[in-house]
This record gives sequence, C-alpha cells and structure tokens, in this order.
Amino acid sequence: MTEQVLTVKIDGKTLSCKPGQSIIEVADQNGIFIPRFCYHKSLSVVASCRMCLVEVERAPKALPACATPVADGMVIKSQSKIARQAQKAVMEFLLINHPLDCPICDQGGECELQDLSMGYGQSESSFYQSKRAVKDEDLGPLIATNMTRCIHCTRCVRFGREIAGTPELGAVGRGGHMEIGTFLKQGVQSEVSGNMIDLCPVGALTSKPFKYQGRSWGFGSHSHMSAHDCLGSHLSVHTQVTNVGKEQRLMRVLPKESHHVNGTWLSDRDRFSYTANEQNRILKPMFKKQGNWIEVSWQEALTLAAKKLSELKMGQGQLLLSPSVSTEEGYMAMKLAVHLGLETCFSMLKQDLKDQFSGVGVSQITMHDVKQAKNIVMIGSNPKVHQPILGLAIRQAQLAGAKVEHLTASGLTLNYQATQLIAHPRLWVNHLLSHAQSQNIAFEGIKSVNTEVGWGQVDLWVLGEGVLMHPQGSEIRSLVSQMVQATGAKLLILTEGSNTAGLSIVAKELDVNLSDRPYLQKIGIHSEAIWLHQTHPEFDIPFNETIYHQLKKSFVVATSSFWSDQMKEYADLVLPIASHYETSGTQVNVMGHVQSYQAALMPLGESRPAWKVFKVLGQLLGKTDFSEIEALSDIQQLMKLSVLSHAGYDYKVDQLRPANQVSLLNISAKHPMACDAQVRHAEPLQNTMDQLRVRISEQTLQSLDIHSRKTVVLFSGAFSEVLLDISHDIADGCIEFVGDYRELAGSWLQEIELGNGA
Amino acid sequence: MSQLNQVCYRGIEREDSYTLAAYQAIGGYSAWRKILEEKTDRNQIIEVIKASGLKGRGGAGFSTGLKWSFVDKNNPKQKFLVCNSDEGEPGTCKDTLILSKNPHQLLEGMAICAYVMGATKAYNYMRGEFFLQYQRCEQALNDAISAGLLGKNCLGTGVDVEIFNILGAGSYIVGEETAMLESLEGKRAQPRYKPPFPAVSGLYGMPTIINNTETLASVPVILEKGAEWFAQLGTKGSGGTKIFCVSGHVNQPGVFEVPMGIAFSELLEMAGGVRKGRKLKAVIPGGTSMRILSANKTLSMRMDYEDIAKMGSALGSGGVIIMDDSTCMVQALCHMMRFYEEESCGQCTPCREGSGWVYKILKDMVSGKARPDAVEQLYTVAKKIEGRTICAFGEAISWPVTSFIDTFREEFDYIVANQGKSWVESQVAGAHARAFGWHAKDNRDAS
Repeated sequence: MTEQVLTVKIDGKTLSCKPGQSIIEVADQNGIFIPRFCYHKSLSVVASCRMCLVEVERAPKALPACATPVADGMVIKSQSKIARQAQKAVMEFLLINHPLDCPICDQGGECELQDLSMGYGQSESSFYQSKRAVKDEDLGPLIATNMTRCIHCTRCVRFGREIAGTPELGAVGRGGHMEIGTFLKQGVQSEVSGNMIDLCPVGALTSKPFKYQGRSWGFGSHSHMSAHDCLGSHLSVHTQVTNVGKEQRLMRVLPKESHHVNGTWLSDRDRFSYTANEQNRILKPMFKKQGNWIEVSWQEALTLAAKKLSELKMGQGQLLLSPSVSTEEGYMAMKLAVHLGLETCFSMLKQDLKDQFSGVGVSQITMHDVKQAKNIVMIGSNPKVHQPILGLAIRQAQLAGAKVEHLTASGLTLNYQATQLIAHPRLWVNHLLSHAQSQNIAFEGIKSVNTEVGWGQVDLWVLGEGVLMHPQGSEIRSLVSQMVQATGAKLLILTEGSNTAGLSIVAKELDVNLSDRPYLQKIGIHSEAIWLHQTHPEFDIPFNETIYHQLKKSFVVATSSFWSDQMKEYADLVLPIASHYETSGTQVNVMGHVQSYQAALMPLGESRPAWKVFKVLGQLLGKTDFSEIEALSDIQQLMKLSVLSHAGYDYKVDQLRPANQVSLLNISAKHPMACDAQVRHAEPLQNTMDQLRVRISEQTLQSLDIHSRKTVVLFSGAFSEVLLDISHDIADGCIEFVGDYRELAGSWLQEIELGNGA
Repeated sequence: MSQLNQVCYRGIEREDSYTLAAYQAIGGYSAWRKILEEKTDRNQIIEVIKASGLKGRGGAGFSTGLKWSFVDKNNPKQKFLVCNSDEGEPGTCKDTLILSKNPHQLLEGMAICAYVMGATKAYNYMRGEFFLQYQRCEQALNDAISAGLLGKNCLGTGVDVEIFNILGAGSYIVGEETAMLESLEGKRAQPRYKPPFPAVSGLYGMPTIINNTETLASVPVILEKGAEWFAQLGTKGSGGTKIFCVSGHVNQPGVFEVPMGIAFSELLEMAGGVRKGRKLKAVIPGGTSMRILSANKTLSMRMDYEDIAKMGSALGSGGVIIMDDSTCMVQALCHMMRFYEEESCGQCTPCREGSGWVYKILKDMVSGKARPDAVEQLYTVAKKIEGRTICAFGEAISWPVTSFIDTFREEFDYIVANQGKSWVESQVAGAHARAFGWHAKDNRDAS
C-alpha cells in the first residue's frame, strides 16, 4: 500500500504532505515561516497563543496553523490581509501587558517575542492604561523568574506534564489574572528543568547562573558533548571573548539537537556543569616540597614526573583514570602505562571485574529501540537520576504503552508508571533465575529457584548502577545476556562516566594490564607511585582511611583540572590539565556512537590538553613512538575503534558465587551531582541538593538494636550524625542516603555500621 | 394570551412537582417505559426529534436530532452524554427551575438521549451555585434508581443508563461544552480547540454528546405527544416552546415558557411592561453575549431564531434583558464587560488580554479619564478579538461592544467629550445614571 499524499498550497507554493500533518508542520518542512509562540514540535498542540492564525480558503475565519490539519487541495495564505491582520492583532494583545523591558532582560536578542514584534508589532503602543505586574517565584538555584514578562504560552507547563513527567508548573487564576507558578511554592525539582528556560519564548524563565552575564549576539557557538553520563548529550557551548586581554570565557551551555541521543532536551547536570569551569582550577604545575606547594615550570614538572615514574619497577605503580576523559587522552595515558608497567583502572564503581573484557561497554541498541520497547525490566537502575535523557526515553516508551518493571533495593521516585520489586541485592540473582524458569530458559549447571517475579516476556533489559556496584555483577550480566540471546530481547548495560566504551576499546587494543580486582582492594597493597588522571579518589572511588594513608605514603602524580582539599594533602606533583570544554577529542557512548568534538575555548592559565602532556612525558621517558605523534589526528589514526563492529557482551558464568552476607548494606549509588570533578565544582548544581537523610526500614533498625530515631552516628572511617528516615519501601538489611551525601561518597554497596546517637 | 408552561415547566405549579409521584401522575417516564418495553429503534427516535424541529436551547440553536445522529451507535468505544446545566449566561435563569422543580423530566430526557446514542454513562453538570438544584436532582436520581427506571438494567430490560449529578466550581466558561469536558476530567475549565468535535472525541477522548438542560427536558414531552404536536407549537423554522427569562426594567420580571415565535410585545406584556410606564430603550434578546437591539427594532419582532437573527441579534439562551430610557449604555456595557474580564479563562491571547483592555477603556470612559479616540479604540479592540479565539467567548466580548457602539454611538461620544458625564442624565427626564448604571437597585427605583 502506498502512503497517501496530499497536495496543499501555502503562499502560492504547491506542496505535498501526509494526512494528519498540521499546516505549521508542512510550512516548517518547506521553509515557510509562520509566526508562533505556544507551538513547539515536541509538545502537544494547544492553539492558544493565536499567533499562527492563517487564512484558509473557504474557511469563515482565520485558522490556527498549528491545530488545523491539512486537507487535500487546501489553499493557505500566511501573508494575506486576513492573516496579517489577525497576526498583528494578536501581537498587539501580547504586547499590551508585556513590560517591554528588553534592555534589562536576559532574553533580549534571542527573544521570540522581540523578534516577531519587529515584523508584526507597532512602533507605538496605543495602550495607555497600567500594565499587569506579577509577583516572582523562587524556582530554585537554576531558573530565574520574571513572571511579569510571561505571555502564557504554557510551553513550560506542557513540558513538565508531557516530557519531564513532573507537573510542577501550572496556571493559577483566570483571564488577565492568570499566572504561571508552582502553587506549592516549593520550587522546581525536575532533573531536566533547564529545558523550560529554552522553551520559554520570552524572558519569564531565564537561566539563574547565566543571569546578567552576557548578550547572546556576542557569543561564539561550538558543538561539544557532555561528559556526565554514558549517553553523551550533544551540546552547543557558547563562549565570549572578553575585552581584557582577549581572554575567552565559557558563557553557557545549551542543547544541540540530535535525533539519536538527546533530541531537543538536555539534563540540568549537562547544562549547568559549565559553571565550574573557572572554579578551583589548577592553573600552574605545582610541586610539594617538604609539605609546601611551590609553583614549578612545565619543564621541571615533567622532568620530575618522568624521573619518578621511570624509577618504578614493573608492577609497582598504578594509573587511576577517570572514565569520562576523551578516548585520545585515555589512549595516550594507557600507552604510557603499558610502557611503564603500571596497573590501570578506569572502573571506579565496578565491584566485580571478573568479566572485565567480555564487553567493550557498548550495547547493541539505539535510543529508538528504547522508545519502542514494550516490556522493560530495569535492574538496579534509576535513569531519572543518573541518565536523565534515558529516563525521558523510558517515560516515552511507558506513555506509548510499555510495561516497565524495576528490580531495586529501595523504592524509586519515578516520572513514569512502573512496578517496583523491592529486594535485597543479594536476592537479585535468585529473581533472575526464577524469571528464566518461568520463561523456560535453562542455564547449564545452574539450579533453578522458587520465587515469583511475573515479568512476562521482556524485550528490553536495562542494567544500571546497582549492577555495576553489585558484588555479583558478572553473574547478573551473564545471566541476563544469556536470556537476551535466548529471547532476542535488547540489552542495555549502563556504564560509568561518559566514555567507558571508548576507553575499553583502546584498552583492549593496547592490551593494557587492567586491574582485575576492585580498586578499593587494589590500592590497599603496597604501591610506589600512583598516577591520578582527572580523579579525586576521595569522591570517585569507594574510599576509606587505608586508601588515604596509602595515597599519602606513595608518590602521587595528579594530572587534573581541579583541585580538591584532600588532594593538597596526598598529592606530590600536580600538572594542570585542560577542562572538558577546553579539550578536543572523541567519545564513544554506551550505544556505540563515536563522536568527535573540538575544544570550545583555550585552556585556562597554564593548563594544557592532557594528550600533549602525555606525549611529552613519553618522549622524556625515551619512548620513541611518542615523538611521532604531532597532532590529535595522529592519535585518532593510531586508535582503531574497529572493535565496535562486534561489540556486545559474551561472558558466561559456569557457577554462581554465593552472595556475601553482610549485616547492613549501603545501597546508595554515587551521587549524580558528585559524578565527576566538573559537576562537583558547579555551585548551582550543588545547591539543588536537599539535606542529607538516611532511609532505613523499621525492621532493620530493630534488628540492629537502634532506638534513637533522630540522630545516629555512622561509622565509616569517620563519624557523622545523620537524620533517620524510616521507610517502608526499602529492603531489610539495606541503608540508603538521600539528599546531600557527597561527603559520604566512599561506601557504595559496602557493609556499613550504624550506632545509637549520643 | 399564549398558553404557558407546556413542555419543560409542565406540572411545576404543584408544590411537590419535583417528586417522582408528582411527575408520574402527569405521565412522566411513560416515554422512557415505552422505549424500554418496545426497544424502539434508535433511528426512529432521532427521526421524531428531527421532525419536532427541536433546536439546542443553550444558545447556538443547532438541530438536536442532527446532533444526536453524529454519534456512531456501533462505535465500540464507551460513549458519554453530558447535560450542560451550567447556565452561566447573564440574564438567564431558566434551567435552574427545571433542575429544582422538574428534575425527573430532565433525567428522563437524559436517559432517552443516552439510549439513543448508546451511552451507558451520563453526567448532569450543574454550576457551583446550584446547591438546592443539585440536592433536588440527587433526590430525583435516587428515587428513579430505586424505582428501577434508571441505573443498571433499567426495568429489567438490560439497558444501562447511569446518571451522575456533578456540581461545578462556579466559572462562566465551564458552560462552554468542551471546557465542561475538561472540568469533568478534573482539569482547568478551558475550551478545547475544535476539531475534533465532541461527537468524535469528547470526554476522555470518547464520543460525547453535550445538550442543554432545556433541550433534554423537552425530549420526553416530544415523544409522549408526538413531533407534530411539538412542531406546531412554534413557528415553521423553530418548533416547540422556549423559556424566556425577562429581566431588567420591567414591572414583573420572570421566567416564561411560551410557544416559539411569540411576539416580543406579548412577552413584554407578560412581564408587566416597562417599569413605571417608562419608554423602552433597548433589548438584549438572548443573554449579554448577544447583540443589543434598539427599541424600534423590537416593535414587530417575533421571538424565534429566524426573526431575531433578521433583526441582527440572536435568540441565544433566552435571557431577555429590557432597558428603559433611563439606562446609560456606556455604564451598562462597562458593567457587562467587568463580568467578561473576570470570567475569561485566560487561555488564548485575544480574549485574555482583550477582555481586560476593553474593560479598562470603558472604566476610563465612565470615570472621565478616556482619551478623545477612546470610542474608536474600543471598537477596534473589540473587532480584533472577534473570530480569533478558540471558543465563542471572543464573540461574547466583541458583539455587545460593537453593537452597543453601533446603536448608541452618541452616548459614547458624549461621555468621552464630557469627562464621564452620562448622556441620559442630560437628555432624559428623571434619569439618574449612577456608578453601576442600569442594573443597580437605586437606579431601578429612581424617578
């Protein structure tokens, strides 16, 4: 059957289109501009701003182009007298109560109302009465409000209701007294709230961190990628050359439309992490001499680093690499590590590395597959928090009718409907086995169990942080991948950082000596020198006193963009590295998209792109193959991302290890707002966190013989007092931190102790 | 004089007219019983309603039989009937009496309509202020369910008609049919853009028919007495009776159910004529949203859809507002526009912004602060709203403003030129135009 094609005429142009399309869609596809405010291609149509009124032949009055479906033979005039009169009338109505404070409005220069008023407005107002004024509301640290400017297009309201699934904004009051607000006055909590700033056609909702920072017309725009989750959203990074010294400044980050990753949206974390770019940066090479930090030249610093590293005997040093660095950077670092015989680790969270090389961190799946899935099972995953863009896709699938099930250790606050199976992590393998049994899938040598899960025929499995941190992670990954092979379902194994996939591929190519045990155990053993690249162990790995003392004892070379307080104590030599936005490179996301980007601005101070630093270091160490590398493209030619073509997961467990019995398990994942140094230094994002609380079940408290409900002392190397939140939806024997638990970073899926408060 | 109260108000002279016993005593529920017993063909009922010439009594005057035929009875989806008892149009107070005095007839009409369209669920949406009416309807509904007439398996025939009485929260715009659907769904009462029309996608996206209270209450009598009887009550184009709510400057304001096409002069006479022998100045024949007519146009006017339309206004909801020669038209309009400014839902731009602007200009006129070009501006602003909004609220603002200015231009010019001084005060003996004009008690009692 061929698809029906309609023919319409817009402004004299004969166009073909599909039934069901609206006039504005057809016009947009063919480059005919019809003015609009409330219409947005990703949101529902409300036809309320009336700006897109057009003349349709044989219709008694002007019709809204956004809500009028095309019909065969329709003749549409968007510039006729009737249409222009209607559009001008609407513009006049919109402007009478608008403050027209463009000179002091942040939206000035990129305001849809301002732009369209040039074409449809009058130069003089005939409205002389007093204008409406609306009280502003505090929407939190990310969104600045000036609601007097609001034109009631309700894009923000519809975004919350339809896309984000957190209907926090709404209209209150009628007629000219209608106001957009939260009603509850508790601010906006959504993890993707920044998109409302983009959607707002006027200056009612603007970016708080960007408030009064600059005018968009002076900005340079650079395509870039986000580095805070394994999806890698596409960014448009805006920079400005300041008058003084022609220095470049990072002004803001906006989403760049991409069909296969983020669509038109962006998570708040990706949007506002730029604010860290000038915070607490390491600007010069520094060396700690008898406990005091002194500035040294690059020459001295590199010579010193080379000397210290070359003194190492094979197997006596370690490289700890952030999983969010570019593939080129990782390639150079690991090449150096291979030469020096350093043991390398870029899996910060993974507890179980038995299946280290069985998958390259790439899942054979697309975002489209996620949105099309019909029965999704998510194990230990909370994408709303950790991969917000994936969370939106899951929500879209659910709205389209998909069944979503979570296997989790504690109840999740989700923005879509899902059933949650709350179970202690040590029971997860059992649940998988019973599911397999119900689907008649047999595993060689593994006995089945008797529990009920009732997931039915699953067509998409998502394994999240809970599996990454799980001591039986390789068992879970293996069982699920075998079921996937048996049923033809899709599998998405979420990885840490933004470039685990890229780093895994080059690590495999270089045959790197990857650490086979969790870093927590590894770092405890005697190590002469430790090289930290873009990591702060106190935040990035499960941390404890032992590790801290080991770090203090070893010679620590830190190649990093940001300082941390503890780094000043344990590091011995720091080399300033360009930040993510100052770096060119390539990232491979969890779905296998290879994407290169160019630096958006020059590195701050004396910091340099990491690959250059590693190249010189290699040369100083006398490695000839480093001298041949002259440019980033040389590295790109050396790395073969060919492994991608047979990406996937191919590890098979032959027997199950028994789950560890621990009395109290910490099930908190690494805090999303502490995922890397860049995010940790972004003040607006840090301010979005609530007060620290601890979720625990009544039964668990009783079994631990704890009676004090208000404060409890937590023993985990350090003492902390925390508020208890007695919850019903958390598995017994588990404890979870919520709110601001950055400081308690070091104990994911570890046994933890709890005692009565003073 | 024409016979009163033959259809919707039949039997309301009885003190207990709202009880099941009283209603059945005058033949109530006989049409519904007959349908249930005979399993009357649905198309046959539609044909009867079409032949009766019954038109929607809410204001738009669309053929009821035709509307009923739009819903595909074989559509497997859940279908809904909604009775619009919101009655918010200023000057209208007809449905309230049906709800409080004759609720069973409305329920019977709803049951028949629901049967015809194949709806098993029907909602009777009353405005928030109708508390007594709501109680009467609830009582009636419970009695009818107890008697087996309504609810599941009516009279053991397997026909389900579940009716629910709903009390709104007191907004004017919820009387717009699609806004009513939004409100029923628990959302803000904001009209939807049409198409799709409710008959295709209405309540919860299902096929829905929305009829006015008076329309539905007329149905049982039509089926009892026949389409012909009903049609001959009225005129050729407009069958049946119509309830007119005569208010304003008359001696005996009241609600009158009279045959369609009655002479305006006769209706005025029923209401006791213009108060205290004053001269008739103007008439709004169908609620404040309709255009105003000067007295001379109404002299020979007949009260039916066609004749009023010929005069340049519309029958609307039947709220007939009489104004005598002491009325200051600017103040009257200002007062009306205050209502519309308050009641605009705020959804679409021309209405949200325009309603306030129109009111502000009128307030300036009345208080003497208007600019010389204010009348011109008022007219253009009203014209800019018309035809550019989602629902008919735009017209409800625009039509009164433009018709008031067209008909009484000199009064507007006068008040602007004389810093808020009213034309009637200077021209008409005994007229005391006060701040709130024509409606205020002190003004009505003056002279």
